[in-house]
Amino acid sequence: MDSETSNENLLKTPSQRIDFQAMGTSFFCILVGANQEICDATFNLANELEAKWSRFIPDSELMLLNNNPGSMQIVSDATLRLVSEMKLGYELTQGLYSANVLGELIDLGFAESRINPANVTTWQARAQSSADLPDVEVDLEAKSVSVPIGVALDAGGIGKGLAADLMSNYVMQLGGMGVAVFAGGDVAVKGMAIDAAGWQINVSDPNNVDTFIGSVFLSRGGLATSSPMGWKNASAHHIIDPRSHKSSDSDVLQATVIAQNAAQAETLAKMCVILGTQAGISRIDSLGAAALIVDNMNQVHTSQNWETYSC
Amino acid sequence: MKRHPHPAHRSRIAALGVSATAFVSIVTSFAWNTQQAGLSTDTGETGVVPVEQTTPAAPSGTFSPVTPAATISPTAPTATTSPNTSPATSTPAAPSVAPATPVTPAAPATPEVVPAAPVPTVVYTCMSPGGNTENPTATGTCPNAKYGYVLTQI
Repeated sequence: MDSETSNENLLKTPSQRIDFQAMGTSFFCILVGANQEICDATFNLANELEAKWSRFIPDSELMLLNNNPGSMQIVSDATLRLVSEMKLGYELTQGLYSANVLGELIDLGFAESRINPANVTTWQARAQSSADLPDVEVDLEAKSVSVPIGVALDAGGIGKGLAADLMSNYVMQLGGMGVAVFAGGDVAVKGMAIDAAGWQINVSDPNNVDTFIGSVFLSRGGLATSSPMGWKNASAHHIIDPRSHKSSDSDVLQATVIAQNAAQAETLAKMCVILGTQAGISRIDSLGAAALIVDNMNQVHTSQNWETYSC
Repeated sequence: MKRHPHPAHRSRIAALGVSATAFVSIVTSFAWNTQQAGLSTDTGETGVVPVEQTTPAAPSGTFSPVTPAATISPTAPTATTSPNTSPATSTPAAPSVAPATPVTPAAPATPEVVPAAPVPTVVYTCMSPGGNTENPTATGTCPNAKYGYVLTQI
């Protein structure tokens, strides 16, 4: 063993990677300086969050809210945070992102789980209403939430993004030195990376996932990618435009957004898909986030801030 | 024929998900990210689920543009709107979209960093909480992935 190799080994910090399925997607986490307990806790947290937020579990907290409209329901801190993030996403995007799309998803043929079709969403309290996220009441002190009649929340992408955020926080609280959580297309990074330059995240070409169209270094924050191609059936895809209550119909093939956390990145990526390329980039610029958008002509567009992260 | 890549290689390829197309490539140089060294970890509530302690969400009606990323502290949102809900301190998200923290310009993609070699696998097994292990399938997944995870030492 030469001296260079020996020194390199001395500098290595034990790191782990864990892969698992949760929330209908593939998770993987890179943990720097973590032990067995932290790996277990990270995995357990993902499953706990799925149990609280899944629309395929009738007694999940989110479905209890959906099926008991008009009454305050006591929920966990995690669900309180999820609903608050949903409301924030609605506000930041001026209503272009809405988690109140469960009815539309069912109508468009997405009632069943993509992973296990035997799991079907049951929304018992279905009713017509003009209410939306601003009408959802959140009582932080009482730790309770009330969903108005006609509103049905779907955790969807924001749930995965927030899960990545919470899991990365948890790893650091438990003593991990650094972490990157990948939840489908949502990424949250914190702490020490295994590379001196930071966490390198590559963005795939929507037409060829084995090639990359962008690459960024992040030291902390979130990144999310959203695409109409992510989940679709013969007549619709899963990204709902709240204005039309149909699948979005813009020129965006794929939108990747960098924000301070993965949950916000997710909502802004959805906003870009719904708004369209030019309006989406403009809105991202005004918010100070960063975005890379591929349009339906396969042209790549970036926001002003993208180069700040690009490598 | 559908491919089933080894999990240790998944960081280089697509992960299928609802909105999945972001990927990481990990390089093998292990060192402190000097920008990280001074970052404190987030604190959360005591309890099973960690929750960030941040200020309540801000309304959008008067939302102000956020200043460019390079000038933003990741922990100090810059939006000027004020909360319109009760000033509880525990749960909601921060009121801005202050971007993530980029690495310093001094750490660009230099030739010796960029190659992004596959992560070396030292140990590979399926773990279940509590330390139980089982062998992965030939396709690199756990026999019952729902109840366990694949651990790779890197």
